[in-house]
Amino acid sequence: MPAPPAELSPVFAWFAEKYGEPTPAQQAAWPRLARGENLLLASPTGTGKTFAAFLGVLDQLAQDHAAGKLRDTIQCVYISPLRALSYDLEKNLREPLQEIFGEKPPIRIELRSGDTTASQRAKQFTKPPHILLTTPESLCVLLSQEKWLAPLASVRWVIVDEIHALAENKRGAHLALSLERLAEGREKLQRIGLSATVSPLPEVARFLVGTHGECAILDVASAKKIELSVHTPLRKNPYPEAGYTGQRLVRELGGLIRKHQTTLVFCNTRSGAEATTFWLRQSFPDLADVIECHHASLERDVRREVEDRLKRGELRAVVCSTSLELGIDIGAVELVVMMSTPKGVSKALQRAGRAGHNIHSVSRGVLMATNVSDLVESCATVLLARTRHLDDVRLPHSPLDVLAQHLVSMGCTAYWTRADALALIRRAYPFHDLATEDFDAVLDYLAGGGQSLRRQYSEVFGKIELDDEGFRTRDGRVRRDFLQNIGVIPNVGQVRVRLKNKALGSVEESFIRQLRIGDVFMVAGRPVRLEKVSQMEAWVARADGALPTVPRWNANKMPLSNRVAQEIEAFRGELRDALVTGTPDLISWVAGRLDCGKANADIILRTHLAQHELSEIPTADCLLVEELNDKDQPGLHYFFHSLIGRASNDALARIVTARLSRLRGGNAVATPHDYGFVLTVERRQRFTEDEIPALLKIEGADLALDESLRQSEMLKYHFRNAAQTGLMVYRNFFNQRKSVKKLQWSTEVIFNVLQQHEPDHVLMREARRDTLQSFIDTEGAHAFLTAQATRPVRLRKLTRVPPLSFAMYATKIKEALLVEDPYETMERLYHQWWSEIEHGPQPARA
Amino acid sequence: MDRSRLELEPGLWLDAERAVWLEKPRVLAVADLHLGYAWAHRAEGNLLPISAQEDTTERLIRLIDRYQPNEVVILGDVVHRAMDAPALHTELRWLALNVGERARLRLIGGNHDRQLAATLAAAGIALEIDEAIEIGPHVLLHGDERHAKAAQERLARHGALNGRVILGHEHPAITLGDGVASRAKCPCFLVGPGVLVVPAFSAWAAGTEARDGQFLSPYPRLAPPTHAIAILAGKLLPVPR
Repeated sequence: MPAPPAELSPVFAWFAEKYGEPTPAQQAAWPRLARGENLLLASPTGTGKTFAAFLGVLDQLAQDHAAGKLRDTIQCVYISPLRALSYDLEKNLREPLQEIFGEKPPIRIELRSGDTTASQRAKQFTKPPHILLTTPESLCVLLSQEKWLAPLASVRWVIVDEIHALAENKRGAHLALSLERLAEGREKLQRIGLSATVSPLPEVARFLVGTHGECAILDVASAKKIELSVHTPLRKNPYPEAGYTGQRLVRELGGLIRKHQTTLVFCNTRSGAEATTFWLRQSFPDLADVIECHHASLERDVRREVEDRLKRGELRAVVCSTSLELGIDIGAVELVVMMSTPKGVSKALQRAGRAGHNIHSVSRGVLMATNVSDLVESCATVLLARTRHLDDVRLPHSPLDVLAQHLVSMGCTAYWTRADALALIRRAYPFHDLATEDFDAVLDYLAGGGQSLRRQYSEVFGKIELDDEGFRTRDGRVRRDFLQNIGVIPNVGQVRVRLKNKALGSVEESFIRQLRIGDVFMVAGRPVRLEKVSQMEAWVARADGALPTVPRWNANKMPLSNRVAQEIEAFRGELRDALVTGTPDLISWVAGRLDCGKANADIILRTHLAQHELSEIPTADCLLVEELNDKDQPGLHYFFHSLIGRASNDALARIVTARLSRLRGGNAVATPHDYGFVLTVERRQRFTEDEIPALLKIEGADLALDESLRQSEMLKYHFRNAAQTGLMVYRNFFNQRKSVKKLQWSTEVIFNVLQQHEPDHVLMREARRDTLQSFIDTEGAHAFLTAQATRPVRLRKLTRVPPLSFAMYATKIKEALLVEDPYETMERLYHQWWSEIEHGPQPARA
Repeated sequence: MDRSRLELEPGLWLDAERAVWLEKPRVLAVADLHLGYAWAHRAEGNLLPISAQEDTTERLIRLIDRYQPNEVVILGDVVHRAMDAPALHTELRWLALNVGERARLRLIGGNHDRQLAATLAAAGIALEIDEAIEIGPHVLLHGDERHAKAAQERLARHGALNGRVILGHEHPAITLGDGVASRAKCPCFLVGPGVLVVPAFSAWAAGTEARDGQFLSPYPRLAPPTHAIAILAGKLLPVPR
């Protein structure tokens, strides 16, 4: 399709002059957008998505201006999950406008977020920009004010960036409702979504346009070449007597950094990012000044500085958690390294896609495997990435706390009838199956209680006025407080860390409470000494040369994606068969199967051979359960090898634990893991192979799961979030100036009260739904139990932990030992284990 | 053996329903009702459920029916906030009426009860608010006084009488775990030399961890508790400190 004729549009002319040929994404998108179609454009970063979406908009506005028709109202709203993206975008859009129109272009762009000052906001209202760059929360704030309805009524285009990062969580559900409200009552709102490579794209498209819209999908993913490879410091002798893998890892990483101009290193946790930065600087002092840390708990200014230095090419490496996954402009990164597996194919591609200077260069990503399980997982991930087997994106179903927030928002600008409100809400895809009774229950909750209660008291302090017909939000303080508390991101107890007066970042309250004055920990990869603590802040001084503790942040770790799990299981089955049928030259076989090179293949093979000798290789056609009876330990451990990912195993483990408790009495501890779960019991609770199927029957599984969740930390965690988002308690409550001692209640108390008196309260229901749908994969557990009904179980009794159970076993120990650096613990145990294996039964040589 | 009640010393009983029973004078004492808790929070903008409120008064009535006391003493923090709200007036009237039918209700003022007198008047309830009540060798109070000196004198006086200072205010709780999977934060009584700290009667009290040793009141600071008696599953469980 040819580009629009250049003589007619200064914008496209400018583009042709500056960049020449459009990218495939741009070429495919422009004609569709010109025709007014809704469009979901999926392609990696650096493929020209911004101009694909915006050039048509700028062009149209420029034409309006030329015809004297350009009105001073908001015509395009751009929404992104990160403010930083909006900052970058503003710069990228100003450039063409200034080059075409001069210093003060007639087409105005403004940013609107929590950072926007009061005077800026006032100016934006009196003289609205043509293009507004904002966040989901700020959009909702605007939609909650009557005075903004007029300026927003003129919006013709809405562009949602990094839409995949929004669709799969509650923030996206929140945005989906805002989009429907934005579209309400107007002829045409053209919706454009920019996404990374996820699947299934039709789901994301539905999310963008709602249940009533049409949407074209452009998948230009193949436009960028991404090369993934697996690297591991585990060589021929993976665990020599001296030295830990941790150190070797850092050395290898340093080597890669030296060989490339700029390297971006992803760690799966903030702690990992901190620790890695610290150790890199220790090991390579000549590079210490050009290696920086970046994660969400560092202050924005600190992060901005890192981003700017990275863009200017001043840094050799940045070690981050997930904070640099999304498309913030970071200049030219030559190599991306992922420390241990990213737990999914989409993430691996997304991260690797951050490398490469422009669309024409190849993006190179290295997965650095830190142990043998990691190695197999990384190889599987890379294999799947090559064949484009992506992980599934799953949207939340009718989150009631988000609904509560939006109803209050809607009620701020008008009186809504129940019917109209429900109809609009159901047009948002995450809410398409919202039950009427849930809708009514949320309204009752917001009104302060059910009808009989409201009749009983003259004042119930509800947020809305509700009658049989409809509702509106109460005036005054209710609205003011509400506007301050819009959003979905929960407030966790954070303590701000200050170096003199400069804020560096924040750490969790629970971490600071463990420390004493004088203790050393790290922020931004640098050791700091704790000097003073108040309730919300901690003051530190530099402590160069001291050995710091790595702070822990309580973020939920990503579980393994189903696809990768299946791939690993397939490999195990094939290897087992190859062993049993006496396939010669197994190292070459493994190397070929996993495409991992002979050195890696050797390690993988030896591990699996040892497993084969000590126990057996767990495969998909039989559930292997290993009983570990170590005479030195008080309890028994059972390793269930259900390779279904941690989220599914979390559900499964709870079901089995609940049943075992009923069968044998007492308690049991289950530790879920990606590769299975560990059940720890007292000796008197020992069970036999025959008793296992009863623990795994599908009937009554949901009941067992529900029971086990009732007082679980996870449920309380989700309730805390629901209580904040659902406006039961204001987020800012926790920042009030009461001392912790006096704050003798918390959401835990509300939870307990509700558990006893109103277990079906809408926010309790939401907490349960959230628990079951986000970090616990109930469907995955169900699928496993159903399949297991027709498969045998084998119980093997062992006195030593076999290799493929080791990762699970170490996780359990790692969680108990909070003091020691996890790297150290793992290494010590691995070393012990390997030396036992080496001197134990010899694995057969290929 | 009925573990829901425990005779701490002759004539002084602890009940797992979070009450103290003085046998001879037939006095039942509970602490920290925090009536109107949810309403007070709602007025601040926190949409707390009100389902638990009736529970407080109901539980108290059940206790009264069981013990048939002459007097019922509330050891302070009768209300959470003495607000001018019909809902709170209703709760207070309900309390005064139901208890008043069965026994003499006596209120001790706590730090949350500063405006309580005015609220009672507005609700049409004729009740006095005392600072402390002496019963036999014991003294019952809230425990929120600032000055250690007065506290010391009281401890000395009642210690000499072989009595105790019986107070609330602390909302004591203790976390019990089996070292494996289960942990539970249980409200508890705290027993020290000449001191008895009573757990909060209100369902809304989160409880302050007693093992932290951070006390608000001068009494447990001057006479540190030697052991706790936890309330778990309706039973009393002595816990060594």
